[in-house]
Amino acid sequence: MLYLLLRMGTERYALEARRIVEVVPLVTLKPLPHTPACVAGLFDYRGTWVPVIDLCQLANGQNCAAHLTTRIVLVNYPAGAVQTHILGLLAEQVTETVKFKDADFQCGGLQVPEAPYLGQLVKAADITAQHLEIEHLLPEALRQNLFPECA
Amino acid sequence: MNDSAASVIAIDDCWNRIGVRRRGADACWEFERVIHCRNCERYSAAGRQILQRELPPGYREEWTQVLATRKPQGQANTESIVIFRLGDEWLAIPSRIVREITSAKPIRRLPHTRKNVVKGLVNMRGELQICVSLGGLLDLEKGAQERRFGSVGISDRMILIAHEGNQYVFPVTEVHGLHRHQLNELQPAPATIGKSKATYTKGVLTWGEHHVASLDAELLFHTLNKSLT
Repeated sequence: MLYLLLRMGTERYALEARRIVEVVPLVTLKPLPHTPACVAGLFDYRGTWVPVIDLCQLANGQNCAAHLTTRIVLVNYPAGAVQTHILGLLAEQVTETVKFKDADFQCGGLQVPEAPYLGQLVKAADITAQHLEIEHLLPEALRQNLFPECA
Repeated sequence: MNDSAASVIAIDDCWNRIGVRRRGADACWEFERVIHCRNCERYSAAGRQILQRELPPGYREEWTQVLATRKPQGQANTESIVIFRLGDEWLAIPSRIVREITSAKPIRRLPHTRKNVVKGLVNMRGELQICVSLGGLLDLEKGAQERRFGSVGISDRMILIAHEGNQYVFPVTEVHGLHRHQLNELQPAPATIGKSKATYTKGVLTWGEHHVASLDAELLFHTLNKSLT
């Protein structure tokens, strides 16, 4: 399957391409006060307001650097049983896609309770990455705040 | 690019240092495998690194604007057609039914067939396809077509069409190519054209100085399927 590679800090992560709607450049975000630091803000995506999560902030507590390769990955975020919402993920060095086989994935052996979105490790050729499970990306409280109608 | 960003990126420009084909002391160690820098991962990785720099002024604002506008609704209500000439007539069929356009190939005649429509069999890439005469079907210049029946070179091109599992080949004099038009550009066929042709014509399109009769694919295949039984 095809995966999009991105970076949070120094580490590489892989996101399933089939979940991605579009990869867009860094845009001006409207900040949301009184939200956790990982919520970078909202932006107008073709007529709908889409919340953007800063993945670097979520994982490492540092904002993504404002580089040309820092992009917003728009994914179909599962909210509820059938409903999906578009969620923006801000990440660094979104420049590459790779094909991984299912057999390339191996269990890391360590589950961090604070980061349930970190999945299995994948190694192919000279690329080592960790699978990013977007359904576990947002803490439950934040998910209900961002998409209140699905609570 | 400003200086601070430039200093962060250290690129080993081996394509400048070594070049593409140099052999000997400091030969390119990837040359045997990739043949040219443009195939090399080092080269493309370096290219991506150049994007690892700060945003140019106005970049964010421009993209914010672009993404806030709705996507243009594609090209709605248009149809793509293949325009070709049959004798003196310019005709068109929807490009979705066209599988292949080839040079003319010899036609093997079949005995006991309605020879004004079914011309015979044609070998298309090792598969036998039924060759039909669109001119025969549409009653175009029947006499001229009959005289030169079966000979190679009667037409310069053959078009393979397929729809719902049925495939046919027909020879044409000339293929212009693809054309996309708005559906409302189609004018109703004038009453003066032949009855048979009018039946299959969805509409007439003005294309340059020619009038192109756009044929109804469904009806075409329906008649061709019937003509074989």
